[in-house]
Amino acid sequence: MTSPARNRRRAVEVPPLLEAFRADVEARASRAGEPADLARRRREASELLTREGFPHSGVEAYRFTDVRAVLAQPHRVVPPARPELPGGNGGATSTLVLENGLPTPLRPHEGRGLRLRWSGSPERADIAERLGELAPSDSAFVAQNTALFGEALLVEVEPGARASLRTVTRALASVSPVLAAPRTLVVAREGSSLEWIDALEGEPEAAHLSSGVTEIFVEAGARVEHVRVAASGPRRADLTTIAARVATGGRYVSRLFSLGGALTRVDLRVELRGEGASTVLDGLSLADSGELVDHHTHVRHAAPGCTTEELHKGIVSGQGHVVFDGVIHVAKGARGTVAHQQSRNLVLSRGGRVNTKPHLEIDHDDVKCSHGATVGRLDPAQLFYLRARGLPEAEARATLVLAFAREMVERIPDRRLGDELGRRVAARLPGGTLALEAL
Amino acid sequence: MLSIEDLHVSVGDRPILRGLSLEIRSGEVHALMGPNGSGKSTLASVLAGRDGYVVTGGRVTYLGRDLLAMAPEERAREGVFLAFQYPIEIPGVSNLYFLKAGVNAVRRHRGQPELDAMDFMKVARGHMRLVELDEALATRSVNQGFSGGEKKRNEMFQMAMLEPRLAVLDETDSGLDIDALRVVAGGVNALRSPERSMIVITHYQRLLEHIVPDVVHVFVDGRIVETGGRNLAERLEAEGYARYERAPGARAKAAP
Repeated sequence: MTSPARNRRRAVEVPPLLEAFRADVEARASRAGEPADLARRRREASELLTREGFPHSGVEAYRFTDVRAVLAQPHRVVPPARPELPGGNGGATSTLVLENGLPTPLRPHEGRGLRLRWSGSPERADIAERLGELAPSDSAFVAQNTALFGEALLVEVEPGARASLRTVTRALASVSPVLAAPRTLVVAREGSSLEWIDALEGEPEAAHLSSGVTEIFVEAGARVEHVRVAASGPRRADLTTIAARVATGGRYVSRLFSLGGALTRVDLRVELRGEGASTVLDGLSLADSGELVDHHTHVRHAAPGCTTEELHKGIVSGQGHVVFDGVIHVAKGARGTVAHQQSRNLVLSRGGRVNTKPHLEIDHDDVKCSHGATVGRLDPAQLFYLRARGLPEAEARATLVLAFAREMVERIPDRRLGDELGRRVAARLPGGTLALEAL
Repeated sequence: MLSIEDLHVSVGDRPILRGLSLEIRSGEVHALMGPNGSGKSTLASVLAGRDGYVVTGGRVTYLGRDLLAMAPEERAREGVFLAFQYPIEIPGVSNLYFLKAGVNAVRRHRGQPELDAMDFMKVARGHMRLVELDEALATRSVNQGFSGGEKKRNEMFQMAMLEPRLAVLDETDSGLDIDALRVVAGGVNALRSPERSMIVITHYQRLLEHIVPDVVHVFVDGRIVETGGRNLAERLEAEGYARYERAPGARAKAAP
C-alpha cells in the first residue's frame, strides 16, 4: 500500500472553491445540537483536506484513477438537514430512499430488531461515537465525507435478530451538479443477521458526485450480507470507502456491482479481527467508453482461523477501463488462515483496458493462500461450439459475456434480488438483454 | 448430399488434408477409419467451419451449395451437425436453454414455428431418454462437470434435437466404456433415416459393430487410400494400419 508520505506529495487542490467548502463544513460543525466531538472531527477533516488535497494520479493507489476532472466541477453540496424518522424503530425490513444523499421518510414494516437513527439523535450517542473508528483517517475522500456529511445513518441490528434493509441514494437532475456525502454506520450485534441492499441510482442526466463512507461492525457470530449496486450514468462519479471489522465467528459478505458511470472508485477494507471470522468479497465491474471502474480491496487477517474468498470480475467494452487492486494481508499469528483471491477480466474491444493487481502479504507460515488474475477475450472454442449449434455469432458472443457476468449474480442467495440484478447487468452488456431472453 | 473434391487443407504451413475426395448420398452412413494424426478430425472441423484451417485447394459441395463459404451457424441451420470429439464446457450457460436457442434458430431457418418452452421440454425429454442422459444434467451448464461418457451422450442428445441432414461424429466412441458405447450407438441407429447421412470417424472397429456403415474408408496421411464395405473394417481391426503407412520419416512430418 502507499505510504502516507507519498500520498502527500503534490496533491490536487480542494474543490469546490475553498471558501465555500469551509463555509459548508462550518455550517455543519456549528449547528445546534451538533455533538462537540463530531464538530471537532469535521474541522480536523476539513483542515486535513485543505492542507493535503486530493491524491492525483502520481500517487500509486490512484495511478489509473484520475479524480481531478470530476473534482474540478463546482458541485453544490447538499445542505445539511435532520429529517424526522417516522415510525421510530424500523421493522425487520425497511426501505430508505435518500435523495441526493438526503433521506426521505422511512417506511416502517412489521417485525423487530432493526433500529435506524440519524447521528444527531441523542439516544444513539453511544453508536454515533463510533463514527470514524474504521474508516481510514488519512484518506482525503474520507476526510471530505467527514467534513461534509449531513446526518449519518445509524443502523443497528439487535442481538440475535434477522433484518433486511434497502437504501437507495438517488441523484436528482434538478440540483445538478451536486456533491452528496452519504455516511452510514452499521452495527450488527452478536449473533444477528442483516441483508443490506445498498443502491446508488439517479436520473440519467444528473451530474452527481457521491463521496460516501460506510463503516460496518460485525460483532461475534453476526452475519452481514452487503450488496452494493452502483448504476451507470455519463455524469456520475462515485468515490466510496467501505470499512468493515469482523469479530469472532462473524461473517461479512460484500458484493460490489459497479455497473459503469464516468468514475467509480470503491475502497473496501475488511479487518478479520476475531478468531474464525470470515469474509466473501465478490465484485463485478462493467465499463464502456468514457467509464472507469476501480475497485481497491484490502483484507487484514488479524486472528487465527479466518477465511477470505474473493472473486472480482471485470468486463470492458469500447474504450472502457477497469482497475482491480486487491491486498490480502495475513498478520503474524494468524495461523490457519485460508485466503483465495481471483481477478478475472474479459476484454471485448480493442480499446478496452484492464489493470489488475491481486496480491498477498503473508507474515505467518501456517496458511493456505492463493491468488491469480486473468485478462482475456472470449474463448474461441466456446464461441465455435455455440455457433456450431446454430446460434448467430452476435448472440453466441452475448451469451458468453452474459454467462461470465451472471456467475456473480448467481452467487447472491436472494433469488429475487439476483434476478433483478441479472436483468440490470444484462442491460449494460452488448447484446445482453437479447441473450437474457434467449437463455 | 455431400461432395468433397480434391480437398487440401493446411494448419499454419503444415498440410493436413492432401487431396481428399468423398461422395456421400442421402441416407448413407460412411465410416472413416485411420490412425492417429491422419487428418480425420481436421476433416470434421473443416466441415463444421472451425477457425484456424486454411483450405488451399479443392471444394466441398453440400446440397448443391459451397459449404466452405458458409459461417458455422449457417451450416448448422442448413443441417450440418458435428459431434465434438472433445465437447466444450461452457460455465454459466444452461445446457437446455442454449440448445433451445440453437433448435429455434434452425427451425426459423427452415420456416418451422419455434418451439415454446413446454413443447421443447416434451421433445427434449424423449431424446434424453433415448441416449439415457440424466435430466439433471440437461439443466446444468453446458458439459460442466459431465463425465466423458455424459459429454458424448449430450452430443447425441443435441444431435437428436437438431435433426441434422448430415451428422459428422468425430471419435464419438473415444473414452466410452462398452455400456455407454452401446447406448450412444443405439441413439445413432435410432436417428438413421433415408434423409440423413452420417460420417462416423473412428480409430477402432468396435463402434462399427453397433453402427453398421454402408461404406468404410481408410484414411491415411490426409487422403482416402482404400474404400470398401463393412468387412474392410474387420480386416483393419485384424491387420492394423501398418500396410498403408509410408516410411517413418515421411510420416513423422504429417503427424501433429
